[in-house]
Amino acid sequence: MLLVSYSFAAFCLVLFAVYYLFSGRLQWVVLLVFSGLFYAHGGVRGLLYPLVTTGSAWFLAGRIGRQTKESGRYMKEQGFDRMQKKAYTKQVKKKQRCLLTAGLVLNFGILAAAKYTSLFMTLGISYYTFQAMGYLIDVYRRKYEPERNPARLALFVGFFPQLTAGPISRFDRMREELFREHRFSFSGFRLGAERVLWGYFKKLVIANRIGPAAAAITGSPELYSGFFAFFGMLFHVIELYADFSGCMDIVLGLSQMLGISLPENFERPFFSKSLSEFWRRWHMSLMQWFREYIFFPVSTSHFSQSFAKAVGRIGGRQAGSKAPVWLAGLVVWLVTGIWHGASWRFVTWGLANCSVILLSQELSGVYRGFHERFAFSNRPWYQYFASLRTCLVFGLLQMLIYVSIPELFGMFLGMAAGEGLSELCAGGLLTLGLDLADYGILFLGLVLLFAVELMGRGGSVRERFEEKPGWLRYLLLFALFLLVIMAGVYGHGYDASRFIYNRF
Amino acid sequence: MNELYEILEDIIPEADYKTSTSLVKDGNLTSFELVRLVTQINDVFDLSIPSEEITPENFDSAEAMYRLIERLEGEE
Repeated sequence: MLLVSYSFAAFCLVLFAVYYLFSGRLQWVVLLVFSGLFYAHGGVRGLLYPLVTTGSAWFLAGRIGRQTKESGRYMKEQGFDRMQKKAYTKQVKKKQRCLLTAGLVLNFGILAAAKYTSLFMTLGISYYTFQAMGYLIDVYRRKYEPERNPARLALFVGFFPQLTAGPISRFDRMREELFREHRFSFSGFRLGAERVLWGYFKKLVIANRIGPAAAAITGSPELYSGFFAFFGMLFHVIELYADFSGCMDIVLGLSQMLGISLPENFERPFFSKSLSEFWRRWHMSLMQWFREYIFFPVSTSHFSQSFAKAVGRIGGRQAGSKAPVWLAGLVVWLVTGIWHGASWRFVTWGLANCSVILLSQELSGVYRGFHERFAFSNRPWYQYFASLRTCLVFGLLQMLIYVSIPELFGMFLGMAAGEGLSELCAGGLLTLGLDLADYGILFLGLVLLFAVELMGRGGSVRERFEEKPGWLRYLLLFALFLLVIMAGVYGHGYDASRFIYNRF
Repeated sequence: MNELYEILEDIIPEADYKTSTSLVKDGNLTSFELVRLVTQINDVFDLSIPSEEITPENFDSAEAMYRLIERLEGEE
């Protein structure tokens, strides 16, 4: 079921009615049933894979949890001293590691088969697999006890708003949200609905409108170079952000209407001063997952630490301490690239991001010296310049998904030679599937989006919006609603209701 | 503690690491600095800090780091 469809609107209306009618301890069961229906809408077979993931995570985490408890009891009964306890715990951990490995291999194997073969594809498989495996690793790490009720775990894994494009939640936080009573609160419901409306504005008015123009250029890079390539990059970045962050607004707003708070996935990334900061503020839940479950374990692994010692012997302590960062950074970005797509383009894109981030890290001393020496680098205009520079670097790296590195250089060197300028002046942008009215609406939409993002720098925009008089708020919301209805794009020769990150 | 201060001076010289209680939360210690810090602590104190111990609670202040080192030394 797609988030931009009449059937989804009807589905939500029935859900809200039943959910608040059952106000109490059974609300989570209502959510589970509706999540199942959401999934089964695309075919009952689609339920099989999330059930395998839930079942295996529940069974293996349960076994791991039982072993932890039993070993604790056994050591107490036997009156083990510290050395005996250490040896026995090591033995138990080894058994538990086998169970964890089995779970990871099975579930990431299913994910790889779904993503990289044409055998099958199922909705939200990346997102629920990451969530379920995060849960299994946390139980292995003894962060919390396993969930006894498989149905409750199934809701955590398959909570339907998250299946479109995340965010990726953690069990310890989500169980507090999912399994408590949610009484109907008009203000919470209204705030959630406002966010959903804002999400539809980003998706339907901006992303869907600019999509065809971005696709025209990025889809045929051999036809477009110079200034057209620059516009292709700009359009692609705008579409990606409006689409993905719009989807997150719909998902988080919808959850808020149910009284459930999900983790944020974006924090105004285009105001970042560096690429590493950008990636801390873009798709945050995925990057936090990678950091916690790949970056830290790889960098603290026995292999990495031995590698650090070897590098340290040759290059000194500083170089030695950086070696695990390089190694783990490389692994994380390789995985990030492969997760986005099984092609060398995505691998190149991941490694290029990794190289820029590690290089900036190495040059941090030079930047510090620059900021100390030149006072203007603390001025607001320089901060905006740094944000713009980050956007440009992000955009250029994004283009590597469509073209090779030499082609990218060729495209942008053409700009210096003025390639495409005369065609642009002769109305070239109007040949990309958008007319003048489309560009006018896009411009106004982007001004509105930028203004809201800019206001977000001074604190929560929503809280400040709440402080406005009621009549003004409703008037502005009605205007936004009209804008979505009248200026939203519901089909331009492509599937307007799909989200870019839906396919991951 | 002085050995830990030396490591922190090497990794985050510009931060107020002796008194700050929010080194991770304030962004002074990002993932990169955290890994460098863990590697140097492992080396100097002859420890092996597991990845699940890399949390803001354990690294937000020099005192919290020192408590972690003492705890792990006790477990060794």
